Amino acid sequence: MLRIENLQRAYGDLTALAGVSFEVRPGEIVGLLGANGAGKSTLLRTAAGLQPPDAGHVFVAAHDVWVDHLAARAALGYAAEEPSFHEELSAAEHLAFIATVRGLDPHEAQIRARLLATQLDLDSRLDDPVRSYSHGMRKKVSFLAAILHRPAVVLCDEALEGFDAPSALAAKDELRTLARDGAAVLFSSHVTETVERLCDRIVLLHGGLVARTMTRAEWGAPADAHSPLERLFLDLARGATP
Amino acid sequence: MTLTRPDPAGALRRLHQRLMARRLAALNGRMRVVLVSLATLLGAFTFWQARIPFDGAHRAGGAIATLRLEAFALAAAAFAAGSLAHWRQSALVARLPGPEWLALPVPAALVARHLLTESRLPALAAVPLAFALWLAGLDLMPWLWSALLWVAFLVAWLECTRLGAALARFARSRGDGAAGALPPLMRLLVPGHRQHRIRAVAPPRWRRGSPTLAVARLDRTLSWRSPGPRARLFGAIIASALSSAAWWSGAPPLLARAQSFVGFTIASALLGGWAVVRTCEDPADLLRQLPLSFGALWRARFAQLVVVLALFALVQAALATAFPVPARIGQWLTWFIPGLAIATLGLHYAITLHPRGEIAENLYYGWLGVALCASLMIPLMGWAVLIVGLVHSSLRLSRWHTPEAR
Repeated sequence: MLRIENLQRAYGDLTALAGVSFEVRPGEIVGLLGANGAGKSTLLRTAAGLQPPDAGHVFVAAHDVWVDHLAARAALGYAAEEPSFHEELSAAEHLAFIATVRGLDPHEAQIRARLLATQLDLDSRLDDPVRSYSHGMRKKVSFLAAILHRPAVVLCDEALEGFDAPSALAAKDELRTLARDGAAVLFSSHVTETVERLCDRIVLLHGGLVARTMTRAEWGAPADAHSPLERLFLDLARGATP
Repeated sequence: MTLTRPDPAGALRRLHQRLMARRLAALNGRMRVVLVSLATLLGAFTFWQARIPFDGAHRAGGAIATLRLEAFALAAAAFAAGSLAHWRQSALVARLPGPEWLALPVPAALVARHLLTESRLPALAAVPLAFALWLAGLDLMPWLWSALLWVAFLVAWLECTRLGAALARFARSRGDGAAGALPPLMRLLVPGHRQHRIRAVAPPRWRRGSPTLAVARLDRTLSWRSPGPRARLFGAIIASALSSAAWWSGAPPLLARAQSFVGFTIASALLGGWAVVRTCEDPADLLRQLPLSFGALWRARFAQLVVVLALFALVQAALATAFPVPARIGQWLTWFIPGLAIATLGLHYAITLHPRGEIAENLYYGWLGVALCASLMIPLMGWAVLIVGLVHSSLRLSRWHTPEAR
């Protein structure tokens, strides 16, 4: 579903990616780990069609991102690390614009946007201009826009950083739901605990190369998808006595 | 950690030097040649335009008359420099990195000086023009007068830019609430001061439509809400209204038509400016991750330019009642096509330089300036320059697909 082949990218003398290859199968959530400067964001931005590679290919739903632009992007959702918006638009206007460009049914898209916004605790501010939003709220809008169309491939670049705990829980549940429905999710984060509990597999980048890939069984992931604190939040949300 | 004597003034000086070096390095060889050529051409044009009236003044009133006229022209250049510094300072303080500056033990006066230095950069554009003015009057008065005049201009340039920047800071630093008690520059830096009252907007209508239509709707919304495109759009409407007013000026029909055409051309140029600003305001990372083709973007904006300019030209043709109907149809066509060429030049530079709006706008207006000068030197030559610009910008359109090659 998402296939990365021999991806190479350098910034002058600095090699960010030196021939990275791996794939994310449908229904799989793959965590992308690596130190600062390991090339995670470069990889995700290249896969999202935001910056061209020096060599190699990225296939999204069998479409080369840098050849078959539109078909690849139609199947893709990208939640950016530093999202940018038309600051004068409200989040609802931004989402309505994206829904039209993506050719979504207006009624269904509106209902899904409202539902997701409620889950992310953003519904009361949907009609405020984006320029009035905090960092966390901007990240929520970016995440919401990335998954609004139930994409076949989701790319998350530190997507949950800045989310409050209940919203992070809701976002992770939504990613699991998308994966269950057949989406391939590539999730980059510095928070190893999130990756540990959310992902089915990890790809560890080091020196611009894939240093290692591991499955849940190999790293001994906890059986519970939620941490004890997350469980506490969930119980509170469900009205149970903690 | 061993502490040494802090030297914020030296640190800011070195920061400025490094910034200048980076900016120079960012201009490639071709761009430097283009900028030097533009400055030389505009300087030569200014010299040629100023020399004739200076010489006339010298014949009529001697050296003192030339001195008066040249002093007036140089004062205008200094005033223009002050206006540029004011504009640049306004833009700088609108997005000042307040918390970063506040966190440093740097005196407010040094921050103000740094901001002033940054604002003076665009005001340097007035210097080659002033130099050309000065050269034009050099042999028409005693050498000492000329030398003193140049020194006076330099002093006026420094003071006008200082005043322009100070006025911009003052306008922005009028504080309210707790921020009102702070010194002016601190008020600028406190981020809470820049928080505007946020009003929710009406919920959008979720509608079906092509990506082209979605972009056109986006433009309509943002052209009213965002100050950059709004100012240019209103400017175009006002220029078009002035163009219409020319028909009632009482001038002979041919002269009225010429006056009206000037207004129409300015309206077209401002509409091209709208296309530049509106296009370059689109966040690159947002657009490029969407299944939105270059064709959809181009069509959406080109169609809007066609509609607005066709309407502007139609109004002028309708008002040209002194001419027979076939002549008015001809006028509509012969105005609409060049107007569209001007505005399309802006659109093409915006698309090929997106999201670097400032560079796109400079290139666009620079090209129009050269075309205007060419037309003043040799009638109709400006249109040839414009066509060359349009071809050049159209050839660059394929760069949209390779963002980092731009």
